[in-house]
Amino acid sequence: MRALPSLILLMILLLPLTAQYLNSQTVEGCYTDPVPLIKLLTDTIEKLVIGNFSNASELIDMGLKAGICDKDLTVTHKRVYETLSKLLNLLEAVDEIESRLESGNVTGLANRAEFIYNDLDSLRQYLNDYVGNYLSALRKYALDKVAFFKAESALSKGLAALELSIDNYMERLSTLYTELKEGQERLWIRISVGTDSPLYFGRKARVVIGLEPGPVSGLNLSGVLASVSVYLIIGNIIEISNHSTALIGGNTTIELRILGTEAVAEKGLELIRVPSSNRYYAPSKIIVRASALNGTVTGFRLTSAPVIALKPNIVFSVPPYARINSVVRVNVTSTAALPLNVSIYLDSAEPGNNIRNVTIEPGHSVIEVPIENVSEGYHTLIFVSGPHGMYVSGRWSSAIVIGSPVIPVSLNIPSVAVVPPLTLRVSGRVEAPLRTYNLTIYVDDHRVFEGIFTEPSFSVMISVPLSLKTLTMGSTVVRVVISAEGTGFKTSTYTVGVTVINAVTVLALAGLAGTAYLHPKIFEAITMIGSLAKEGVRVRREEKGFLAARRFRKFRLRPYYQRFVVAISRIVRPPEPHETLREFLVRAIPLLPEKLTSAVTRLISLFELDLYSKKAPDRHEAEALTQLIEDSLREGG
Amino acid sequence: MKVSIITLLTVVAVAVGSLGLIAEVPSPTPYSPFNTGGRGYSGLRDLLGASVLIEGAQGASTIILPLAHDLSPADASTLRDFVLGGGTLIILDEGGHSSKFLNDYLNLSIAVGDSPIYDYVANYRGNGSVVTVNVSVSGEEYLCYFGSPTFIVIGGGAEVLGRTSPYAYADLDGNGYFSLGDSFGDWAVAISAKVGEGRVYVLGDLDIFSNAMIGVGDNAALAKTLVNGHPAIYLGGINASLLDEMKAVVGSAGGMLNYVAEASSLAMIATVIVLGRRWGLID
Repeated sequence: MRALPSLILLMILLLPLTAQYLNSQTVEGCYTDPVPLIKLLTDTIEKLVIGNFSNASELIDMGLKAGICDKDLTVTHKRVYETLSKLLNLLEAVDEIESRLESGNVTGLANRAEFIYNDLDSLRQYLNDYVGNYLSALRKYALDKVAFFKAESALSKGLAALELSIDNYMERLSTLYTELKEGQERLWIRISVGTDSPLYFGRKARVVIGLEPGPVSGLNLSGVLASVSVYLIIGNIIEISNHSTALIGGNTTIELRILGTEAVAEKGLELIRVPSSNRYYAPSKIIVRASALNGTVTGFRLTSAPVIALKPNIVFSVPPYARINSVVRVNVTSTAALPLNVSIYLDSAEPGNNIRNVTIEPGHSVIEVPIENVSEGYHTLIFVSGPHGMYVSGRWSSAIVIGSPVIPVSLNIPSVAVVPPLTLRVSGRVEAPLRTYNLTIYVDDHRVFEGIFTEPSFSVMISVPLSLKTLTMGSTVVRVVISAEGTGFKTSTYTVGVTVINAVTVLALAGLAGTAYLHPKIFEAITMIGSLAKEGVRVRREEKGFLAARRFRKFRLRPYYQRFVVAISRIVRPPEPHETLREFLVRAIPLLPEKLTSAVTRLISLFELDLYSKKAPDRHEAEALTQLIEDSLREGG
Repeated sequence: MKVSIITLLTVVAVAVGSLGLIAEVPSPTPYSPFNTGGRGYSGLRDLLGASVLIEGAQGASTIILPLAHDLSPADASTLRDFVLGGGTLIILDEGGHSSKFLNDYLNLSIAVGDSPIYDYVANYRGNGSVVTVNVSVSGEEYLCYFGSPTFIVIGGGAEVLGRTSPYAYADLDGNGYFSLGDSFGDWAVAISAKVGEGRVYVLGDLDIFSNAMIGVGDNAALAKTLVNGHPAIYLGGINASLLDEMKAVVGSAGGMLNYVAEASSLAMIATVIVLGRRWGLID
C-alpha cells in the first residue's frame, strides 16, 4: 500500500517526459554548402568586372549578411566581402575622378588619384590571399567534388578577369595622375563626341570629335592645331586607342577597330544579354583627350558607348530520321554577315563527341554530317558556333532518330508456276542507295541461289527442287533475303507462296479421269482409295491425349474412368487432354491421401491396360477401386 | 471508516487525475494542432484562436491545411466547395501532395515540388535548411523563414508572394547537398490565387507555422495576415491519431478540458499529501 503514492508520483514525473520525448526534435549539425557561396562570389566579381556597380553592391551586401554556421569560415568569408566592398568603392572613385576631370573641377584630384592607385595596388594583393584562404576553408565542406571543382573553375576565371580590370583601372589612374599633376593650371578645350550608333564588336567605329575653345580660355585658340587621342575601354578590361589631329573650332573623325568577340572571350569578359533579344553588350566608355600648344592647353571628355554583339541567326534543318553509317544532309540558312565556324557534336558538346567542323557561309548552304558508330534510337545533333567578329557563340540542337531501316525491295515473283522445267524467275529492284548487296533465295528452306549484285535491279532464274509437290501440284514457299553489311540497312526478308503445277501430272490425271469415266470399275477403285485416305486424315486429327487410343479399341472402363474423374477432382485437377494417365498419376500422387495412393495407382493401371493392351481388364476390380476412392473422398470432403 | 473514505478519495482522485493527465498529454502527431513539440501546431492554434476540423468546414472562414499526404476525394470536394463559396484556404505542403487537388479540383495550373530547397546564403543563423524568404502580401513585406521548403511552379492565374534568394538550390537528387543536376534559382515558395469567390494560398513548407518556427522572424505576423475571418486547422491532410480526433471533438466544448485537467491534477496532489502524512512519508 505504501508503494502507491510513490507510483503516482512516478507517473506524474514520467508523463511530461514521455510527451517531451515524442516531440523531440533532431538537432542538425553545422554544415555549409560551399557551392552556393562560391557562386555568389563569382557573380559578385563578374559584376565588378563589367562595371555593374549597383548589382555588385547588392551582392556584396548579400555576402556580408550571409548566414554561415562555422565561425572560422564566417571570419574568412566576411573578410573577402569587406575587401570587395572596398574595391567597389575604389573603382567607383576612379569613375568619379574621370567625371570631375570632364567638368573641369580638378582641385585635389591628383592626390586622390594617387591615393586610390596605392589602395588598389595593395588591395589586389590582399584580395588574392583572402580568396585563396576562403576557398581552402570551403573545400573541406565539398561533398560533391565535381560540382565544387566546376564552381571553383568559374571563380578562377572571374578572378583572372578582375585582375585585368584592376590593371586597366590602375593604368587609367596613372594617366590621370600624370595629367593632373602636370597641368592643374591648364586652359581647357571643350570636346564633343559623336559615334556610330551602336558600336559593334569586330567592326570599325567612327568617332567624330569636335574641338571648341573652353569657356575659361583667355586665348584665341580658334584654328590652333590640337592632337587628339581616343580611347575605347570595353568592360574595364579591353582598351583600344587611336590618335589624330584637329583644329580647335573644327572636327575630326577617328576610326577605331573594335576587337572581335573571339578576343573578348579570350580575355574572359562576359557579355550581358539584353533581355528578350538576340543582343549582348559590354558596358564601355569612350575617353577623348585633346592637347594643343605643347600641352599647355588640354581637354578631356568621357562618354559611355556600349559595344554590341549579336547572337548569329542560323537555322539548321535536320531531317528527323537517319540511317546508321549514312550521311545526313542538313540544310542551313544563315543571316550572319560573316562565315562562321561551327562544330557539330552528337548528344553532348564534348570533344569526344565532335563529328565534324564546318564553316557556315552566309545565306543558304548544305552540310553533310556523317552518322557513324552510333547506337539506334533518339539522338541530338548539336551545332556550336564559336565567337567571331560581331557574333557571340551560338548553340543549336535538333533531335534525330537514328536507325537501321530494312532494305526496301520491290519483288516480282509469279504466284503460279507451271513445271517442267523446274525453274522460276525471281526479279526485283532494291530501292535503297546500296553499292552492293547479297541476294539469297530459298525454296521450301532449300537454298537455291546466292549472289552479289551491284545494280539496283536483279533478275535470276532459280531451280525449284524436285518434291512430291513439284511432281504433282502444291504450294511452295519462296524466301528472298537481301542483305548489305555495314551500310546501316537491316537485312530484308520477303516470303512469297507460289503454287506449282506440274503440267505432266495434270495431263496424266486428266487422262485417268477420262478413262475412269469410260470404265466404271476404275471409277469405283478411285472412290474407295479416296474414302480411305479421308478416314486416315480424320483419325490423325483426333490423335490428341490418351483418349485417341479409342482408335484401337473401345474404352470399356469408361464409366469408371468418368466416376474416378468426378471423385478425384475434389482434391486434384483432373487429367488434362495433353496428359497421359501416367503423367497425371505423377502429378496427383503428392496431393492424394496416403490411404488412396495404392488404389488410385492400381485403378490407373487398369485404365492403361484397357486402353493400350490386348488384355481385358478386371471390371469388378475397377468398380471396387472406384467405389473405394469415391467413398474415401466423400468422407474426407 | 476514515480509512474507507481516504481509500475512496484516493481511488477517485487517481481515476480523475489520470483522465486529467491524459487530457494534458500532447499529441505526438507531426503538424497536429494538439502537438506541443517543435513540429506541432499548438502555437499556431493558440496564436490564431483556431478551431480544429476533422471533416467539413463548418464555422470556418479560413482553413489552414497542413498536407502530409494526398487529400481524400471527400476532403478535396469539401475544400473545393469551401473555396468556391468564398473561403480562404492556406495550404502548407512540401511534398507535392496538393498538386492534384489544385489542378483537378480548383482548376489551377500550379505544381508543388517534392524536393527540398536549401539556401546557404540567405538563411537563419547559418542553417541552410532554414531559408529566408521575403513574403509580400497586400504591399506589406514579411521577413519569413521556411524550413527546407519545396518549390512551387505556377502557370497563369497565380501570384508569387515570396521567392528564395537566387543562391538557393533545389536538392533534386535528395542527397542533402549541391551536386551536379541540382538547380539554383530564386524559387517561388509562397503563392496566392483567386478561385471562385475565395482565395488559396500555397506555402511550400509544413514547418513555417510549426511551434519551432512560428516565433522566428515575421512567421507569426504572416500567419495572422493570411487569415481572413475565423480560422480552423483541418486534420484531413495529416496522419491524425485517435487522440487528435478526440481532442478535436472535445475542443469544440471550449477550454473545459483544461479546467478538468487542472482540477484533477490539484485533487491528486492533495490526495498524495494527505496519504503521505498519514503514512508518515511527509512531515
